Amino acid sequence: MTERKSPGSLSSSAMPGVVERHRGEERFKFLGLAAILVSLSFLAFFLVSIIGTGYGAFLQTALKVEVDLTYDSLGLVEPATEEDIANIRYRSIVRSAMRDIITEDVGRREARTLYGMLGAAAEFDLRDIVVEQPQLIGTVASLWLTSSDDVDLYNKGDASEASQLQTRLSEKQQEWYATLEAQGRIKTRFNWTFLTSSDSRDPEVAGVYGAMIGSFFALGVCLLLSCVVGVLAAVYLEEFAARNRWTQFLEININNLAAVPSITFGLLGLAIFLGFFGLPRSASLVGGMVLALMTLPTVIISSRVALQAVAPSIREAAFGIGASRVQAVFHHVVPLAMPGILTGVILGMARALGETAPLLMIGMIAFIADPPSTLTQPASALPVQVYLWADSPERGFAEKTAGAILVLLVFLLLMNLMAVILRRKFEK
Amino acid sequence: MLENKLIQPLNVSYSSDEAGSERADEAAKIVASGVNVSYAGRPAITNVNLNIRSKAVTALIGPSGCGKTTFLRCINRMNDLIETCQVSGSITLDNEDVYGDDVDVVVLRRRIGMVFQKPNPFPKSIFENVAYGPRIHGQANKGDDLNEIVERSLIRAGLWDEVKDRLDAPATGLSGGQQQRLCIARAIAVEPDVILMDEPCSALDPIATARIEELIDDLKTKYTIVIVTHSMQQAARVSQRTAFFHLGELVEENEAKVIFTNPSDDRTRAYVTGSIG
Repeated sequence: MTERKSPGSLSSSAMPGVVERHRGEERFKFLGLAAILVSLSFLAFFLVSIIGTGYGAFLQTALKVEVDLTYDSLGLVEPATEEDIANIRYRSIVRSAMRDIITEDVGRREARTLYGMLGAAAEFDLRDIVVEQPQLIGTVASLWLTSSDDVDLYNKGDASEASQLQTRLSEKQQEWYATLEAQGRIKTRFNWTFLTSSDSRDPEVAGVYGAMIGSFFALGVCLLLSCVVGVLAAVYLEEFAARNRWTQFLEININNLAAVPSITFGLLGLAIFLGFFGLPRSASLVGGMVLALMTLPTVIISSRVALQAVAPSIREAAFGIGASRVQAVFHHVVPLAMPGILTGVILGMARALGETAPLLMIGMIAFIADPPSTLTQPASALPVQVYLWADSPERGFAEKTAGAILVLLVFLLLMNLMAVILRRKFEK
Repeated sequence: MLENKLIQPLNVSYSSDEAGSERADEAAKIVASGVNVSYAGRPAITNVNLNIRSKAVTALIGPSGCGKTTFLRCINRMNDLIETCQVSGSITLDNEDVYGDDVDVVVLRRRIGMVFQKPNPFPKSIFENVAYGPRIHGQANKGDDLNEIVERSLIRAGLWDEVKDRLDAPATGLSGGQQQRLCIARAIAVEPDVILMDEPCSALDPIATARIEELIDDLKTKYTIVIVTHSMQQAARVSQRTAFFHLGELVEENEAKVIFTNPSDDRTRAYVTGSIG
C-alpha cells in the first residue's frame, strides 16, 4: 500500500505567497549580516594598519658606546660642580665615542655621516644620565644612547629589498651599522621618550606628552563648562520653562547648533574669546571654551532626552506630597536622569577629545616644544599633534603619527569605559 | 421590588458606618461650587457643586472620561501642572479658597495628600519613601522623631509588620499591593487632613484590593477621604457618600446606600444597574 506524499495542509505551500515571504526574510537577514561584516572589516583594516604602523613609535633603537668622562678629557678639575656638568660639551664626547668604535680612517665628510648615526637625542640622553648620576664623571662609562631616526627606521624596517632601498642610510653607514650590530652594540628598547617628551623637529625625540597635557587641560575646561551650563540649561528648559513660541524657537536653534560644522565654533571662539575678550592665543583655556561651545548642544539635547525619560509618576508623587518644583526636580528627577545625562556628557567629551578644526582657528596649531603648566600657556592637543606630524616631511614622523593616533584611541576607549561604569553605578 | 432588583446585581454589603447620614449636619470639609475645568478650551467638567464631609469616605463614580479624576485633581491643584488646564469656580478647604491668591500649593498639598492609580514609590529605600515628606516639610529633623513618624505611618498603613526588618530595602522590590500601601503611608506621614485617592486599586489583585479597602475604612476615623473608583462594588463597600459623574456633570450625590438602591436620577440608575458605562 503506497501513500502519495503530498504536502500537508499546514505546510508553507498550502497558502499562496508564504514561500515568497520566507524568502524575503532570508534575503533581509543575509543583507543585514553582510552590512555588519563590511563595517567590521573596515574597522579591522583600520586597526591593523594603525597598530602596524604605530607600534614602532613605542620602540626606539639604542647604540652602546663607551663614553670617556675622565676629568682629563673633560678638562675639569675634581670635584665637578653643577655648573661644570651643565657646561660639558656632550656633542663632542658623543662624537669621539663614535670615532673610537669605528677605527678606520674617515675623512671630514665621512665623519659627519658617522656622527649622524647618533642624533640630537643621544646628546640629551647623555646629559640626562650624567646629571642623574654625577658619579660617572671620572670614569669611562659604557652607555646605551638613542640612535638617530634614520638608524632607527633602518633597524625597525624588515630586511627586505624594498626597505633597504628606501633607507636614507648611505652605503658607508650601512657598513658601519653592520659592524655595530656584529659587536652587539645595537638594541631595540621601549621608547619612553615618546610618552614623556613634547613635540620636536627631530622625530627621535618627539613625543606626545605636551599634547596629552594640552588635551587634558582643554577637556577639563570643556567638561566643567559644558556640564554646568549644559545640564542647568537642560533642566530649566525641560522642567521650568513654559512651553511657548520662545522656547520652541530656542529648541530649534539648539538642535541646529548640534549639526553646525565644528570649524564654525572655532571661528566664533576666535572672534569672541581672542578678538573681543583678548584671551591668549593657543591657550588650552580658550581651546576648552571653544570645545565647550561645540559640545553644549549635544549635552543639552541628551540631558533633555534623559529628563523626559523619567516617569511622570515620579514627578506626581513628589508634587503630591508637597515638594516644590526645585525639590521634585533635584531630589527625584535629576538623580534618575543622571545615567543618561552622564552618557551624553561623556560622549560629548569623547567627541571634543578628537576634534581638531576648532582648535586650529584659535592657534593651537603652533609648534610647541614645552608642555603647558598653566591654562593660559600655549599648548597643543592630541588630534592637532596628529595633524602636525602627518604633515611633516621626515619619514620618522609617519610612525609617530600612527603612534599618536593609538594614544588618542586608548584615551577614547578609557572615556567610553568610564561612561559604562558610571552608568552602571548610577542605575543601581 | 425595584430595590431588590438593584441590590442583587451588586451583591455587596454596605459600609456599616452610618457617618454619612448621622453627621449630615456637620460642616463640610471641602466645598466645591460652580467648578468648571477645561483642557485647551475643551470643557472637561461643568458647574460641579459638591460638599465633601469631614472624616468620611466620599466615592466619585462614573464612566471613563466623565471628569471624576479631573475634579479630584482640582482639589489639591495637581491640575496646575498641566499648562492648558483652566479652572474656574471655587473649591474651599475649611472655608478657605484653595485657588486664592495667597495659597501656596506646597502648603495646600501638605494638607491634602494624594494616592495615585499606579503605585509610584520613589526608587529609594522604604524608609526614605515615608521620611521624605516629613523631612522636606521640616516636621522632623532629629533621627528619633523621624523614625517614630515612619513607624507610625507604616503601622497605620498596615505595612509595618511586613517591612520592619528591611526598611533600607528598595521600595521598588515590594509587591504592587505593598507599594500602594507604602504610598498611603507616605501620604499620611505628613499628617494631612484630606487624602485623595485616584483609583488606588485598579492595578491590584483582589486580595491586595481587599487590604486597601480595609485600610481606607480604618483611615476615615482620622482623615477625610475622597476616592475615585471604577468599581461600583468598591464604592458601595468603602464609601459613606457617593457622587455620580456623567459627561463632565455631577449628576447626583447622596448616601452610598441611596445611590445604589434608590437613585433619583435615571442616568444614575442606568449606570449602577450596568446599562450605561
